[in-house]
Amino acid sequence: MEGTPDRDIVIAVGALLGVEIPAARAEAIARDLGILAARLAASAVQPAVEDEPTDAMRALR
Amino acid sequence: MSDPATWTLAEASAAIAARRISSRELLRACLARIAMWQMETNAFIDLREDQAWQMAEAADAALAGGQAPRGALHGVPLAHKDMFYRAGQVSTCGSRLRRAWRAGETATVLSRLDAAGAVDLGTLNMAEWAGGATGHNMWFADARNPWDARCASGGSSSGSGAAVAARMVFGALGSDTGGSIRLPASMCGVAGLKPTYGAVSRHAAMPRAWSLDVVGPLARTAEDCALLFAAIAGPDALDPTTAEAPAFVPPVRPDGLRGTVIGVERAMLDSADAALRPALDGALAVLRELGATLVDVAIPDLEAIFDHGGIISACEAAAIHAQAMRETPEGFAPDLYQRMLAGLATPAVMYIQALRLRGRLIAAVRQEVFGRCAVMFCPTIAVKVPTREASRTRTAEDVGRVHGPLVRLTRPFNMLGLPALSLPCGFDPDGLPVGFQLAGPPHAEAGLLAVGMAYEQEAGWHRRIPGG
Repeated sequence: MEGTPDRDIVIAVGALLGVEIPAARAEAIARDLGILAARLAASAVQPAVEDEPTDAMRALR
Repeated sequence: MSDPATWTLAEASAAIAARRISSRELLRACLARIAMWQMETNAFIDLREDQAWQMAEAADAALAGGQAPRGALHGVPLAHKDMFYRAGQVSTCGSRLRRAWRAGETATVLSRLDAAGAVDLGTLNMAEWAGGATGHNMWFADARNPWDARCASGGSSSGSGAAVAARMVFGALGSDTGGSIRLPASMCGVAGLKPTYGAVSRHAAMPRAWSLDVVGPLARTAEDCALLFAAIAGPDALDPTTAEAPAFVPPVRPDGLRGTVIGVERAMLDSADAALRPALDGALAVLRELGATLVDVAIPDLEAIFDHGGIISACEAAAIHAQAMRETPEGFAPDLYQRMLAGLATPAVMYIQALRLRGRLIAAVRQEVFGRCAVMFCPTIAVKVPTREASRTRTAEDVGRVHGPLVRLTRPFNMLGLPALSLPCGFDPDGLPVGFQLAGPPHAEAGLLAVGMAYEQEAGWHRRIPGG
């Protein structure tokens, strides 16, 4: 899929955090992240500039 | 006299208050059930019989000395998911890495149950680090469904569901990050309440994903859940997310539901397996007969809610366990470890966007759903209870295939922070329980429980007991 992150990026992030991510698993993670990112980008609901995490606690009042 | 272990918690509480039974007699009855059912269900990780006898004797001595019961839980035997810490005692969290780990402090929820006079029978099985929807556990062996031991109990509060269903205890605490109270409640045929985020202290309870985690009860009825929730809910200085938690008073069971508008989440209902529909439609018929007005509602942006909830859960779990994943990867079940790798690799901005969107998503649901109804109805699980063999996961791909459909209808309420009550509504053609959820706006637990109490009084499914 176009835009899917390369598995080497996933492996590199793992290495940065000190965890070895096997190539086959990295491939699957990259594929799943690409699909998820595409779905979220196409979603009608997107954060606005002013949105921040603490808004959730206000919304729960 | 019927077996006291088969009473509801409310019935046991009333009998203690009236001095018709002692705490020790209730404990003896529960221990007899445990002797019958532990081998079948593997619900307990650590049965603490000596501790329970001491607590029961203290409860009886207080009443014999002329004191009033400390509350509705006085002398009532309970047990809890093995992730609520008690100072000096082992809390395994379902993990090999914590097989001998002793907690340094006591969970606020356990302290509150102790203060209410409850008897603590020990720790219950759970998915490793609360990371599974089925109840499998390779370190302590699977919890098994008391309706059919070949089947999954549901998770991650697997032992809580199995122990309450098999009448080994009158109630149990669980935790819920994506459905972990409601899934075992539904699969084992008992009631389970996932409270509003921030309604119950999480202090000294194992975290799975702190933005989503809630602690709540599993019990035989909604009425029993109300009694347990009343004991644990409310502000706790040790958990800042509870700062605005309101006080909770158990509701009185209403005579009927006239004037109550219940929204039916049509897409969620229609997603249910055809084998579940007779039970779910039957529950709607009972609510209608009680006088409720049913209207169709739709949660806006449901897919985005599900996706963002999954991102938060994956990233926070990976962050919590990153150090252990580096240092002792062999300490995790391979499928759990493989799945948590995805959380490590998820971009930080994706996680932050999910958190930033949360308030907007909650506000939209409050307006578009709870602007039209007081309570929302949907199935708890859209698929039949799987066998343990069919739902055993070995790879990360297995996990997505098995767990994804199980949490499809529960995770949204964690992302939204809203309360949801799961109640039994019958059985599928294979004889396994079916459950439905009643969800509400923030801190509407009393309203959900009142509807649930009216429903269960009429439907009576809680009177069905595994094995007889």
